[in-house]
Amino acid sequence: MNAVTRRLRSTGGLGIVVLVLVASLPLWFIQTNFVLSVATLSLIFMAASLGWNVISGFGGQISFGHSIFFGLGAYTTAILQVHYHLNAYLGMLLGVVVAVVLAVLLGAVTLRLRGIYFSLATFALTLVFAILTGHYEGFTGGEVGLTLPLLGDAPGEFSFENKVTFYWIAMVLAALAFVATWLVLRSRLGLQLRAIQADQEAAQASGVLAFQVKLTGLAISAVPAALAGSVYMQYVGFIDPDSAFGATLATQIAVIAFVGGAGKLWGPVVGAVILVPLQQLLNSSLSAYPAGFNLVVYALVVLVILWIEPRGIMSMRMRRRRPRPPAGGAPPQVPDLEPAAAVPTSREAG
Amino acid sequence: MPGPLLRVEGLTVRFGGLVAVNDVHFTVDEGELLGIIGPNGAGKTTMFNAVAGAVRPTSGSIRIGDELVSGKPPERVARLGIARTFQSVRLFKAMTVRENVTLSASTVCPSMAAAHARADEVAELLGMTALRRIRVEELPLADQKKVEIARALALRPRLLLLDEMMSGLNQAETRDLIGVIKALNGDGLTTIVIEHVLRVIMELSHRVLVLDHGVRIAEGPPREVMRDPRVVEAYLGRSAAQNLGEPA
Ligand SMILES: Nc1ncnc2c1ncn2[C@@H]1O[C@H](COP(=O)(O)OP(=O)(O)O)[C@@H](O)[C@H]1O
Ligand SMILES: [Mg+2]
Repeated sequence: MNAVTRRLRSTGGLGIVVLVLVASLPLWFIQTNFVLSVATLSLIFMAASLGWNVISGFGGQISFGHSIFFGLGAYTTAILQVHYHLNAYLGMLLGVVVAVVLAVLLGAVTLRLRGIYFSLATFALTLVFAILTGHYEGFTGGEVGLTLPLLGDAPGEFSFENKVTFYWIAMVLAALAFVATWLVLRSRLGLQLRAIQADQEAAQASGVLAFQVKLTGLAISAVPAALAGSVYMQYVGFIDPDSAFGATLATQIAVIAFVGGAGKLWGPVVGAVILVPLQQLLNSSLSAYPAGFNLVVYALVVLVILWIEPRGIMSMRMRRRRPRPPAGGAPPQVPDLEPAAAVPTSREAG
Repeated sequence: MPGPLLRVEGLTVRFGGLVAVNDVHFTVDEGELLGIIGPNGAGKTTMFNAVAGAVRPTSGSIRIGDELVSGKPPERVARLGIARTFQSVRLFKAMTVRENVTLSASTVCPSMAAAHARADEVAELLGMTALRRIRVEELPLADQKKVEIARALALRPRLLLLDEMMSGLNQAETRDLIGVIKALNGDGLTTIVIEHVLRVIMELSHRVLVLDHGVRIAEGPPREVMRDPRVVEAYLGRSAAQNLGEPA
């Protein structure tokens, strides 16, 4: 167990093991289309959630609007492809540009808000995007949505007959997003984002340009979300306002990270691996029950996990190690008479 | 001849109807250690907040060197060389000592490597090298206060603001911290110290400023100020009688 824990901590080694396992999955596991589709979607939403982790997990600015960037990635690619016959890869790139520009513009307004007000603003904004895309029908296809032309096997146009190809593309996307967030976490930006989350005033007193740092964090965090949207679009071939900007996706990107562990490098990975298959399974297996029953079960599972460990699954193993006395580096502590000086003991519930 | 390092003129801070700081003037010279005392609620912390940019002055001006500080946000003030600690420790609890100090170094150093080097240098200066890898929430209060000083020092400040560092510390810890502050000032760091414990102020300060109800009621060398009848009345007349004899 201890060896496993140590292995888990050295992210690099584990990353390669996971990558090899996941990459070879189709060869010995994923045989049915259903499982393949679930695995591909898991990786796509994992990438979006990894992006979310940068501004919300590290920076503490909880976004319930990352669907905006996902949706912009999806719609930009689709609109350019359908209306202007632009190359799909170019569309994907432009989708990222549009998402980053919007992240900066929206962030300039919303990032001045603190705490729950920022969260509410982002949530309201994604619903506004849903309404707008529904409204400008000529361009977006309105409530009906946009369908990509069927191109058959055209790798140059991001179109593949073999769905396993999409699985590998999604895997590369998730791996890139993971490496990107890992680099952010190790960087100056990552440290400053974490400081802002811990105590923004103290960070500012230490010279952190809080607003710029948060804006940069939001712009970076929009990139994986937009790419995830583009890949989703190419994979599914169809998008409508609700699946792009709706409340379900908006909350799902955040909930994946919360369940896995917001602010933890592996949080979105673990969360996506558990929640997306669960959601897909419930959708297909409970379809005979009254509408919404699958959502109730899904919500219950999320609640139980967060009830057991509010900081997410990645914190569960940390908890068991906690009661051990602090490491030997510190000098032995003389009991202190001053109550104010008492070191807070870890408050473990059970 | 160079002017004073810090020049505060006509500083007033209002919170609604309450005048927390009322038309206060003072200067601090390069290398000086100024003590600020006053009863609870006198406006000491508010004045620090104003100097550090955390609170916007209602009127008045604050300059460091030739540079106008008042009106600038706290992160700009920090980068101009005014570093502060908080009355109630406000560290990044879940981070290690090294991360806490590196954070502030990272705002003034060109690279993360330079920031880490700066953090290690400051840790060594304060004798905290052995604590670098410990998360600050696991440290005793006295060490946490030292980390606050380290975090401030990492900015290479021209002026250090220390707000009631001794509260909650026992006698030995207080002695230790007085030594640290004296040593830093001895190396030329201009410092303003807010303290509730008069004994500490008497020992540390070159000059003392006394606030009461936001108003400057006395200023001068420590011994003279303590004999000032207005100070005795403001201070002893109310809450702080115990402070004269109290070992904290
Ligand atoms: N942010 C604030 N809003 C409203 N009132 C405040 C604020 N900060 C301080 N005060 C008030 O200003 C007065 C001075 O407080 P403070 O500067 O903390 O005093 P001291 O540090 O000398 O004990 C007190 O009456 C306090 O309640
Ligand atoms: Mg105070």
